[in-house]
Amino acid sequence: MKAALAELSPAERTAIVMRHWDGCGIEEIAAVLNSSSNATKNTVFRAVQKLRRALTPFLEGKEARAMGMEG
Amino acid sequence: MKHRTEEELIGYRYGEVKEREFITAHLKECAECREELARIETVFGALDAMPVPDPGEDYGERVWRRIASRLDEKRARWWEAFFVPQRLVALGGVAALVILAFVAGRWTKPQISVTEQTDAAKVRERVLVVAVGEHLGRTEMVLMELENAPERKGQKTINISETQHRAEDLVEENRLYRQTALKEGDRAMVSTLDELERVLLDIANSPEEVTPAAFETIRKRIEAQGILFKVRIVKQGLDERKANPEAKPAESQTKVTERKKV
Repeated sequence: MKAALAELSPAERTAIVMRHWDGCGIEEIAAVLNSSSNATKNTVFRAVQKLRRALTPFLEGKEARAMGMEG
Repeated sequence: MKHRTEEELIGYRYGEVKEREFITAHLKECAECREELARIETVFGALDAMPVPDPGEDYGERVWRRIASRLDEKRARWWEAFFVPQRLVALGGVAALVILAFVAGRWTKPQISVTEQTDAAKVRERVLVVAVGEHLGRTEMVLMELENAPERKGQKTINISETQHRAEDLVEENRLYRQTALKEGDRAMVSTLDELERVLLDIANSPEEVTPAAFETIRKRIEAQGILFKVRIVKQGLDERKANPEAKPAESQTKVTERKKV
């Protein structure tokens, strides 16, 4: 997870931390990034998309292992 | 049935989409989109499970830069604390010492000449001229790459992530130089750097993968603003000032725009 976060650009990291962990609204994040709301939404989306791409192999592996144990 | 995009579903999960009811209705009917949302939910679950990460080295700096201007008024009143009666006595003592030191200094030390002060200002200006010149050179390269990129009609999407990362770095630099130019009172440079910041932010905040049509829109916007031309003019002025420090600053933005129209 740390490696996935390290792959994000500074703006994406700031945006996702503020949005996901600090619970800030898009307007607040936009103010810090000095950016428009739409551009900030894009930045948050890009961050989630990158994290998703990086985490999916691990999450799918975990799921497969869990199913194997059940079987 | 038209499926919902990943972006819409992430926005839906965060409660940030306008047509929320439509998406809810669509999810009831579409098993595929429900599965996609469930997969996104797994990622959110993994994020929730981890401790709050470090938002990055420059997070504090970013927030501070944003709120610093709002604190100016408050900061100006810090000295009011000295008007507490007990502190007035100490303040009087310090003032007496300062006056004494000033008078002693007048008798013993020669004054700093006007020439020395002017020299310091010149050195400061020269450093700014060189640094901004280099910054504009790097920015010019990024803008030229975008403007002169070959047409890619066959491709569905174009990856501009590398240009974006460079634009992000340039935004940070640009802000610092803009602040310095503002302090130096160089209005033409402030105006160009202002416009430049908007263009760079536009590039930095675009999606990483853009369609050829979206890429063309970005390119046309850069062209329409004539920002590359303005950057070249200011850079040329700076190069002249670097070669001849006595030369006057570049022409004002209005004059440049007028000349371009002609």
